[in-house]
Amino acid sequence: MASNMQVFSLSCRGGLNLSSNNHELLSKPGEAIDLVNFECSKEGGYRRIEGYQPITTAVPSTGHIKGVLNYRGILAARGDNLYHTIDDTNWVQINRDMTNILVGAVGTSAILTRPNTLRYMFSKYYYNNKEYVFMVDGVNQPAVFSYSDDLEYRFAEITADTVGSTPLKGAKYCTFYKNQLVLGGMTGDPTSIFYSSLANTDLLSPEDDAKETPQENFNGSTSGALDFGDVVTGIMTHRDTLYVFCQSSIFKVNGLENGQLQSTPVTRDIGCVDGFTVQEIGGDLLFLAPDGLRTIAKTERLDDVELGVVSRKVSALISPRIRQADRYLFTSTVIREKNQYRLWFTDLANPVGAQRGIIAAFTYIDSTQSFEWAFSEMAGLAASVVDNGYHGGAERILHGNQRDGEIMQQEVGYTFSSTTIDYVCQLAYTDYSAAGVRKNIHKVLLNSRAEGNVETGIEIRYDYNGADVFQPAIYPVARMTLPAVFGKTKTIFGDSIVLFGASTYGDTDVYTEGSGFVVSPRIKSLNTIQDSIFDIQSIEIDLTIGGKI
Amino acid sequence: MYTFLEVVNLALREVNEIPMTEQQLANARGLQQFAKESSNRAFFDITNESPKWPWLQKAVDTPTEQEVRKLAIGIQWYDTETLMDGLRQEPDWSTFLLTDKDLTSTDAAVIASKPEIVSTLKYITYDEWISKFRTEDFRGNLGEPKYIIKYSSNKYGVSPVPDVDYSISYNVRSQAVRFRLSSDVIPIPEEFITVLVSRIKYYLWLFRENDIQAKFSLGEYQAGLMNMKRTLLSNKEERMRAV
Repeated sequence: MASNMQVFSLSCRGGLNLSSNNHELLSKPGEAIDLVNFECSKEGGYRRIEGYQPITTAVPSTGHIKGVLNYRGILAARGDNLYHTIDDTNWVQINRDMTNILVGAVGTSAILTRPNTLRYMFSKYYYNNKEYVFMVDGVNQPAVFSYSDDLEYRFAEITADTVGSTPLKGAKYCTFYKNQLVLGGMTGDPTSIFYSSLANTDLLSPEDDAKETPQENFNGSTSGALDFGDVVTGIMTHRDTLYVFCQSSIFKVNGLENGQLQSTPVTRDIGCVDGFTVQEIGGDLLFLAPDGLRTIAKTERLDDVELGVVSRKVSALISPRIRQADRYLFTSTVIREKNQYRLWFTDLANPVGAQRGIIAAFTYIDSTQSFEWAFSEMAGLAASVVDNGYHGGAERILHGNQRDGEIMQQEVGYTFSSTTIDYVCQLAYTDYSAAGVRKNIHKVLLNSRAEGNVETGIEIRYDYNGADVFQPAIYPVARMTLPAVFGKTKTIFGDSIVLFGASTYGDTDVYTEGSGFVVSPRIKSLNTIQDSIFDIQSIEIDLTIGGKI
Repeated sequence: MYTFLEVVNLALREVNEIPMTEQQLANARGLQQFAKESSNRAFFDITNESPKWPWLQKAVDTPTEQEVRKLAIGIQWYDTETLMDGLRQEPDWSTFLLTDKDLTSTDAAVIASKPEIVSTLKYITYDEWISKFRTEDFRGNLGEPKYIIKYSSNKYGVSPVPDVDYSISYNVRSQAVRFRLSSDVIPIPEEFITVLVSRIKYYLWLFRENDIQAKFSLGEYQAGLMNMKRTLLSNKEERMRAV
């Protein structure tokens, strides 16, 4: 029996917040204290992430996938070899000494062994309307590969000069600055970058450009090297500037192409943990620094520890990994259509289900008309390498991991390669503007939108899940399904999972029990079915207030 | 019949609180522990309304709900005895019957004999005995007992002090004991379990400082209790009579 029922609505916005204290969070009820396998949606609310599915047969060889790239099919590295597939089924070993070799004749070319490779970084370059892939693996000579419209493969290793000297060996990072290949992290010269001559030089004149593999000339008049006096940990070109990330400093370099070389420090206090974490997003470069995720712009403006960190809300997730950087493979990507950055901390010694990562979404806040970073956590989505490219005009995110030999495509389906996705969304504890008074929760109403069949559950946690407070068991929510809305593209009439007569955003209510001084709703997978994608826009709480004990 | 756990959970659900499992009942905390204690308190409240509740009349089986004792010559005070099932017994003080026939005898001739003395002892309180009869009894004047005296520490006495051996027979009822285990059966008939629940609810609302709901629950309890008494206690055959 309830009287004086009050209704509070919690708008799901702000993402995971592990940095505010309990009292501060009381006034941020839409932020989450546990947000696993959800993402902060551009359309507002928290959206269960999509799954991934294998799209190729297993890459030959054994061990974890060491490189993957969307390139005229898929380019992948596993074991000590590189492979390419154009049909997602048949893999061709391409680390061979070959120039204009037809696909069917590849086996006749001599293998260029690339032993003990660490991880591949690729950089694509268009020259003379041909697309080439330059690559480094952290151990061997850099290499260049192409697959032409004539169905011919070309692969060659790059040396600094014609006699095959080794300063470029062991390069870990590569990028193109305008039309010059830049390498960094060489074994023999870890504090320098090497840049090639201008790529429009006809390297192998007088051969036909269309049949030529540009090996990049590191011995020409416009090539050179630049020493930064600090170990290079990453390089990335952003607009007209080459950024060189070092262990404890960051530099921006201009003028490589015309000999007017300018190297300016962005900061001498902050460095980059791993070059594989550097991505371009939101008109800026995002990278993992020793104190968390940073943008170049903020770091340049606020040249001090902590001031430019954008990931303060999830420092509790990032900092322990940074402290054990040798244990983890850091890898990252962006999902452009979602304004999203994903960062993985992969421990190859752990199973796939135990891998973790974070999602950073650059979200628009309507009330302040500004953008802010909102975070969530990934669990069970393991990626040792990842690539985002366009395939058939659509964005395609590929990754490989340490368990499956196949290359996976992200943002496809609603399972992790047939494994059910566990998820949790727990909003912050809040006192509903009545501090010190007991709140009895009678009903919880979930305002959400399902994109298929979803059977989720709601838990109500009282008083910080205290041991002296009884916590109710999880309440199953009635099955949600894809609503049929006239004119909506996702509505397929006649589909058995479509619910006719539904609204786009369904309200699902659950009657609940229990009371406490601070209350937190928690959406959690029941694992009764493989839940489809759904988002949580808001949660409405019906409660009565009374009693101070 | 409802169990202790079921009743506690009924009350918890009525105030929209989290019901318990068997294991949780044993280790209840906070409001759940209070609900557990309130259940016993509410049960005692109802039990104390009358000694005539059916669940209080089931302690002794032979003869049905009666105890027989011998009163020895010159002995004034006797212990009430513990019932066989470990429950405390409570005499019905208006039912003490005195006779010179040995009611404990197994001799067929004695059993078949007719008593010469049969009387009902009048119940008096200890204070009344002190003020009116103690001095006479102290003088050592023996006689046929006329009064039964209730003493608080599980004793009763007779006055005057018996001049010969007598037997007394009296009805007993068991006393209510608190529930501890989740499987303990609540002896209140199922159709009246809501009376108990509304009483528990009353205490829970008070605990939660919700006076309005507590008042509603109290009214519900009182109305329910009245119905329960009418059904379980009133003797419908008895009519008002002159005395």
